[in-house]
Amino acid sequence: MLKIVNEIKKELNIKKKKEIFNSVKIIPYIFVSPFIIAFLLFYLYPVISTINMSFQEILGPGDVKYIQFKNYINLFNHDFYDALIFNSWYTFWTLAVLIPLPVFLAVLLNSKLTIGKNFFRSSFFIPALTSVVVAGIFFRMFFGGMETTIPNTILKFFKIKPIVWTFKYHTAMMVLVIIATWRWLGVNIVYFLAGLQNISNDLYEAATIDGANFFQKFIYITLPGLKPVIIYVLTISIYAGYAMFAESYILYPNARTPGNIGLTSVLYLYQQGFDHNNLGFASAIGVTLLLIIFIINTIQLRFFGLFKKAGD
Amino acid sequence: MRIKINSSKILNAIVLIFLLIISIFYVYPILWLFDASLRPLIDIFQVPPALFSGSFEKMFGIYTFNSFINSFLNWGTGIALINSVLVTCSSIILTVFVCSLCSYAFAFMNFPGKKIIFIFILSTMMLPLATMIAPYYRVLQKLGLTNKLIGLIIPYAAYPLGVFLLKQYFIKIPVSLIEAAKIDGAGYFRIWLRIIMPLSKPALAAFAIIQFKEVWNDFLIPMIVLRSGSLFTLPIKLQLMDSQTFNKPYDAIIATGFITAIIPIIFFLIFQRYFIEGLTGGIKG
Repeated sequence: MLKIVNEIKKELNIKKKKEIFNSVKIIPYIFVSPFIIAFLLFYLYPVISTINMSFQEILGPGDVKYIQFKNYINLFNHDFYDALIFNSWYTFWTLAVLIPLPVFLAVLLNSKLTIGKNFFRSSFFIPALTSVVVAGIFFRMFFGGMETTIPNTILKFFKIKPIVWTFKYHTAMMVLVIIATWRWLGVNIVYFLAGLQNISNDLYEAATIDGANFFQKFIYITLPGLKPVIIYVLTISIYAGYAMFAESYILYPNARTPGNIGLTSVLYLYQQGFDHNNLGFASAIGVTLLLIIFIINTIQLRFFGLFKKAGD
Repeated sequence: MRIKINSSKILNAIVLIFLLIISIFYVYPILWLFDASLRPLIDIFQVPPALFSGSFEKMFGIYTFNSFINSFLNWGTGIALINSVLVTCSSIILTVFVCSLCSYAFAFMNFPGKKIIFIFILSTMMLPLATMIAPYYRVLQKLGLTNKLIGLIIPYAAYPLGVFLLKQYFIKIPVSLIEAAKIDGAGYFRIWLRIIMPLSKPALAAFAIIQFKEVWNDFLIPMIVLRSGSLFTLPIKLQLMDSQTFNKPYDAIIATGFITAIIPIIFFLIFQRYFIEGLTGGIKG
């Protein structure tokens, strides 16, 4: 008798377990939980922790002292200022190149008349798959000081003496922007191509009937249609511009930037945090950068009206 | 009429030439790496390049595998290659599992807090990890993940863009399919595995390509996580070779660089037919 009761109990238990696992209330959280746990550990906790650490002087694990705003006061120095200015110009130039050019190329690649679209799309995308280390080493050699490099050969043609491109402020900026253009053009083309798929063909047909030419169609249909994607690309480009690190790190081996040429904020953060073991100060740099990116992006999003829902 | 056809033909030709010039600039570095990796060290920086010397003998006759042999025997490129493959493959499997489960819940289930969690996850896409490497390093240290390959795999599991991309694709799957499966007695997990995943191949492939290039090429996180040379992934190994001040091994650097660059390209070319299709679901205002 007892045996049977136990048996039934067991059966019920299994059923209950199955029900819990399939219950509408619990299951979504089970599905979401692996992501949320990893997310809390590796995204959210570092954000909160970096704010906390930025008020500390960290001499070693467990040897921590709160020093109020000292780290932030120390930020007012020449190196960080140079790095921020460099970052801002770098961001500006990458935006100036990496939005108009890929929009234009995406329109060309989307046209029915263009031949070999797949080939071009792939060849523009290939640099995006290439490691930044490979790109950095290649472009350092390409823009090297030797008389025989391609850029210096061109200079020679105009009777200008060869230069080490990475060791002068403006040419170093140019080299870094060229690397960014080489690596990210294909990605942005993909974004804009995807955006173009979402613009209804009827609009173009109606415009053709009304007698609109290519440029009118571009300005009145294509650009407004691409607006959400343009805003997205703008946002991530600002983010990427201020977070740039590896390109500079590779271009100047062992992070020795000549007279702060090519010194970016994150490179400075890395030097302070890991070479000088000053994790508290590095965190203050990180928080400041996060704030800058947040402020610029908020202003930009307000300005272009993502919150207004217009033009969507 | 005739003039009109001609002018549009000319315009097309101009477009084509314009695209060709840009694409030459875009593939040139990879082609140069390929060519240079097969040349003896003294020929690499020869002027004019041996490739344009005119004689077939000079162009291709002197190709050797010495650079590759040097990089594998003396610089441990082989171990770095194995490490890179190991880290990238495990991380793709893990992150596709984690993100697709999460996206499935967001796409088909209603639960309290859903909207807030989703917006919250998306908003962190704006937080560059690079600015938080100091506390990030301490999290890994506390979890005992520093200087281990697994420390490169687990942190990639939560990838907000992946959740966004997959969710946008999942919501296009007809709900009737899921309802039918439910009536047949399939559980949520079974529906995810048997219906959602097979139907979302393009989105999964696009996600895999993005994740492949992110993890394979990642530089900053391996830099702060790894200490011992035997664990280095290809980009870190390459940087180490490049930072030699004396007798920089240019041939080994170029060979390793070529290997580092070509593998994601091959992976992309295999799956690229899904790429745009998988992405178009994800980018909509």
